[in-house]
Amino acid sequence: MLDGYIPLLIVLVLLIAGMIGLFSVLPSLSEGRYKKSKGVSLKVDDIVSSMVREKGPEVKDGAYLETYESGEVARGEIGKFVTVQYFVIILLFVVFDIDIVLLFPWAMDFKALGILPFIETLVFLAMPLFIVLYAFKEGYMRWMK
Amino acid sequence: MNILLRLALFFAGAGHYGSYFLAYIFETIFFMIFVAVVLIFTIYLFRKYMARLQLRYGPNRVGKFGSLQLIADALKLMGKESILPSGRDDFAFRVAPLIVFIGLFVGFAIIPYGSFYWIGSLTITHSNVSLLLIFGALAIMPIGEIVAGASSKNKYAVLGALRGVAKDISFEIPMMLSVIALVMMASARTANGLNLEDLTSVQFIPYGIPEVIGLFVFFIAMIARAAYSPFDLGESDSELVSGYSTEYSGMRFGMFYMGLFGSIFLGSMLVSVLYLGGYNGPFSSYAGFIYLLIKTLILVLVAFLVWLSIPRIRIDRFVNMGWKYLLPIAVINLIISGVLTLGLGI
Repeated sequence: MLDGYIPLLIVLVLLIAGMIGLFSVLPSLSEGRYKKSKGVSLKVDDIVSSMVREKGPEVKDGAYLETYESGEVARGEIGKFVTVQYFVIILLFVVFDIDIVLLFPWAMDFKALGILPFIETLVFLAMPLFIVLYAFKEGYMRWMK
Repeated sequence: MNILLRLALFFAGAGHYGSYFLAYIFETIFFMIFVAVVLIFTIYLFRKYMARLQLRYGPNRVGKFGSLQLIADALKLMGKESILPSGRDDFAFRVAPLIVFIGLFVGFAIIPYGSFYWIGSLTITHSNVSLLLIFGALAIMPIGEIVAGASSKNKYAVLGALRGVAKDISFEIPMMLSVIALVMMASARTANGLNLEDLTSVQFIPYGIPEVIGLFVFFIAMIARAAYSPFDLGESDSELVSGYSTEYSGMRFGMFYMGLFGSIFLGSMLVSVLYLGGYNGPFSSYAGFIYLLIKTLILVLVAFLVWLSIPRIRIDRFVNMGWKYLLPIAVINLIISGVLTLGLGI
């Protein structure tokens, strides 16, 4: 019974192996142009690597790796001020998602179960819908209260 | 007969276990080549179609009709440096594009592709709960975007990731409700409505006809899921620089880009499987795969038309649209399909 899932497993294994291979082979993915200044090196390894890989000139400016904020110097911290509206939406989602997980087994046998469970399910669905209505009345859908 | 048995017959010289081992490996490799071709073709189609709508020529220099332009772009992206910003969360930053990519491939692996010529069924994953599995795979991709936004330690990226979360969860509920309506309808004909293969094979009349509202809700939710222009809040490039992918460059950015186009194609394919009858059609035991591709292409063109003609909406209107309009419509659709199934026995 589980042999239907074997291609899925092979896809995962091939993809992960391929991505690891790609990321370790491609010099553009594995290492950057930013190097701290080492001065002139006459070691064989350094000479060979600079001959083999056609790279641009190395960058020694520390601003090269800073976060990009449209040319401004990045200041302050991130993640301190998050609008509370996102939180309300996520709560609504959690309430509804649990509801929907419970609906799937009922939907599979819908025709056989008949009319009474259908009405019961509609009542069951009405409860989280009431929560959405409440959030709407409280003004959380307007984003800025 | 399906592609696995055909390949096992082809490799029959390798013994019982050896032939099946090789068959599984080659089946998967063919599938991955198909997905790669689909990704390249979708991006090429989008660029040509956008150019035609904007009275331009589009790519027409590399190869015949510019058909090799995307290969050249991929090579260019591979050659470009992928800058790793200094403030990053290293492992999460590196793994985020892979999450998007892996979710995409897993999603493609679950679709029932139908039959093609003498090969037989091209479906590679046979599961009894493939409907749930594919929505699980679709739910992996936004995680990659959120991880990307949170790990790059950039204000724009964090905002983009937050908006991406709001986008995904606002449209998840109407989408799942319309799918439940579909499973309810299928329960009259098949015992296992959670199997995409069964769900497709009972659609003598495509479910898009009795469930027009469900098709409407699901298609809008898929557009929102794929996150392009009316709903591209996660990477709104005129406010946030480029949203969650701001700090990404080179091939890592290319993976997000391919994930976007792949999810458009995957979403259209899912809509055509669930609502337009998938591989059903005249002589579907020979040309089912072709029917699926034709239906998907039409939906992809509709999706591109939506992308290119509607400007981005504001975040509050967007959340409103999910919770205030689509959710009640989806519940009404559930009631209608329940009444149709119990009353008329469709």
